[in-house]
Amino acid sequence: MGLVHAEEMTLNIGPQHPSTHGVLRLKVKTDGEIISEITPVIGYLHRCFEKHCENLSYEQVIPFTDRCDYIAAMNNSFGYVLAVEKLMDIQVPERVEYIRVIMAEYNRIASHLLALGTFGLDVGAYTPFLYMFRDRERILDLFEITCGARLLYNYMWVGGVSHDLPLGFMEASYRFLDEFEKNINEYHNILSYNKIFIERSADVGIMPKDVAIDYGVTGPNLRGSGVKWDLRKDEPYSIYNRFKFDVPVGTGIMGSVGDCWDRYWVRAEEMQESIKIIRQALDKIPREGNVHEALPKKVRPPKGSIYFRTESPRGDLGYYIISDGTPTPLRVKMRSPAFTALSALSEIATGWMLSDVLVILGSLDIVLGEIDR
Amino acid sequence: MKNYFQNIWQSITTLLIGLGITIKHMFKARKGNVTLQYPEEKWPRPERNIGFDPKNYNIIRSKLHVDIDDCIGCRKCERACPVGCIKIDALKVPKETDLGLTSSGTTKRLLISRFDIDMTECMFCNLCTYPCPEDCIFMTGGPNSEKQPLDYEYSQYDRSRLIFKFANVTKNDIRRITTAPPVQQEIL
Amino acid sequence: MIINQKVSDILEVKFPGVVILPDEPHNDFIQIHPEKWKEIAKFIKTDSELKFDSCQCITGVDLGIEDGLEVRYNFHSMQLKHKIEIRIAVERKNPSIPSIEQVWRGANWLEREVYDMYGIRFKGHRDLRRMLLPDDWKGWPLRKDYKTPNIYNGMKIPKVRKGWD
Ligand code: SF4
Ligand code: SF4
Repeated sequence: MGLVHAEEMTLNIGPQHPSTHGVLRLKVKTDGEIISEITPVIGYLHRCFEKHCENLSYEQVIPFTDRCDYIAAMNNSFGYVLAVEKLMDIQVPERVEYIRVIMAEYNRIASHLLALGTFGLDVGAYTPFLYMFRDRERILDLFEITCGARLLYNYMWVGGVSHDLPLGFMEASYRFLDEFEKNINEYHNILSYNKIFIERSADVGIMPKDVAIDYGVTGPNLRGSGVKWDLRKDEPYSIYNRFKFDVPVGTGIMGSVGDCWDRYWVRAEEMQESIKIIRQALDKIPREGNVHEALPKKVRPPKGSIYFRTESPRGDLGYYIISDGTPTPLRVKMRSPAFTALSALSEIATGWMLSDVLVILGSLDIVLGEIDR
Repeated sequence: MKNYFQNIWQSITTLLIGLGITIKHMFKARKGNVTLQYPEEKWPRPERNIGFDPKNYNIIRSKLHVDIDDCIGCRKCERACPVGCIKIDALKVPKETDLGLTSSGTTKRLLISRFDIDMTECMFCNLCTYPCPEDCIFMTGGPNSEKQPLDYEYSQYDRSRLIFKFANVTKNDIRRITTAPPVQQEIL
Repeated sequence: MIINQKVSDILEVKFPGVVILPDEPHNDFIQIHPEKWKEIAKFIKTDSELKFDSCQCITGVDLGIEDGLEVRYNFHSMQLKHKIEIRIAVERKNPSIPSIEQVWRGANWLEREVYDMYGIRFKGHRDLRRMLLPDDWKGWPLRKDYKTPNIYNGMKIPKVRKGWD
């Protein structure tokens, strides 16, 4: 009998792979079916966002921030304009604040719908994906009548928003929210409590609390690990302190705290909270007001720097902006939440089966545009 | 051996039968059964109903259009564009030349000899339309459809043809207008 | 924010002379010397009054050709809910700084990104490679003295497109 020669096999997943959610390459070392080492290779979508910003004026950066996280473009530009406004000390009108919150929360729902749908797709459930896209479509329709674009809006401007709410927006919003609330229960029945789905995602890819914090993971991924940390609640920016909402955290209902199912569950619950916020905002929004009132003539912040964080659907989105007093920023750095979440992948995915890796990756909800910038 | 030649014979005959069917179809081809000669021929745009009248939209971002007769050449749009896909050449004209008024009543002082928008680079951010003092650069469709009908396809054979040229003055015009007529000096 | 003052005072007791006192009082950040950075990092992560357990952001900055480079760290404490910014200046020639990759694991990729863009070497980093750019890229693109190359791997980079000047 000859010697049985055993060695690890190196597998290459991506850069073009349906489950990597973008152009991401995973270098995977497998021992049989078990992952012994996993190295994400990123940079395929690098578009020099930060270099670009050094040559653009402050308003011109906004469309580029949209393109970083193209799933939640509203939230991205929201963070940026808030940072610049803080730097310039601009007070925006009430109506603008409410419009921004409504848009940001709508975009959060849309983003979570996509995240949950594609997560189901990774696990093998095709139908919920289509249902979720149907609802996401209606949010995009609302965006379209508001600013003419469905994905990359350039809607939030420094000191205001580009257009006021169009005719019929309110009624359409209420109608949508009423129907969508029912649909969430449908999703729970079709996907969340499905036995196969639970088997695939519960107790898989557990991210303990301390690992998540150590890696700087934020957002739903951190809350899935049981840490109650939400910037909207703990460090309220804009007018989030006026709304009542809860911060859902993972409690390990189906398995242990911090598994893929928990991360999924936190997102699903967050959609409920977003609905609450939108409802309150729609009720309270001032009916009159000029959204272009506070637009500055020239966006030229005084010398200084700021690190401003907002809660995007993926986590703490930070902008580090340094101004040298000229119309172009000296430096704009974007701290992207998906970047840190992906850096934790090599830790939490080792030791699992190859097929679980894609589930774990899907549960982290990464957007490669934001990672590579 | 016999089997071998039988196989060859069978494959040739079945192939020919298949080819025959294809040829029959080729001559029977009706319009609509063959490839559409896009972009010369187009399918009609399907109806889209999302519950809103396009007139009620704030804006539809489809294609940039410039009412060149209204443009005063202030270059505000060019400066606002983040990707630099608008190129404007505005020439000074002698004081006496009358270039006419825009539709809002502003006197035009500059001759626009070139107004190009590179639609391959444009990222539809809509930043250029906001600062325009004459509202003459806008996205077609929606609330703007009385000014210009919606155009969403604008497909071309070549990338360079996607540079839309809006200026409507010829070289001769430029030479004629920019060279000042001899001015009669009054002698006191 | 009082937390900056507190951190500055605690550090001054523990590591004398490490905090660079500002010319004029401000509350935004504290500036420190790079020498003992790794020990300080370990200290502020574990100290019971500070507990900065999350490394949120590491930003490389080039303040201009005459001025030097700088690395700015933003830390946050999930337990005590406070945050701080720490700045460390490095010189332009052979910039290097102690790595904190082994203190906060999240700093691994963030430091690699700063290295990628500014060429700042993080001493003690176990895997300091380019992060976003290709491995064979030359130069540090976010530095102010960076010149955009005309040729990349034998391919000419056109400056002006056809039909456009
Ligand atoms: S829409 Fe944006 S990219 Fe296009 S021409 Fe106008 S400013 Fe430039
Ligand atoms: S901003 Fe309007 S008027 Fe001025 S150059 Fe552009 S299109 Fe013409």
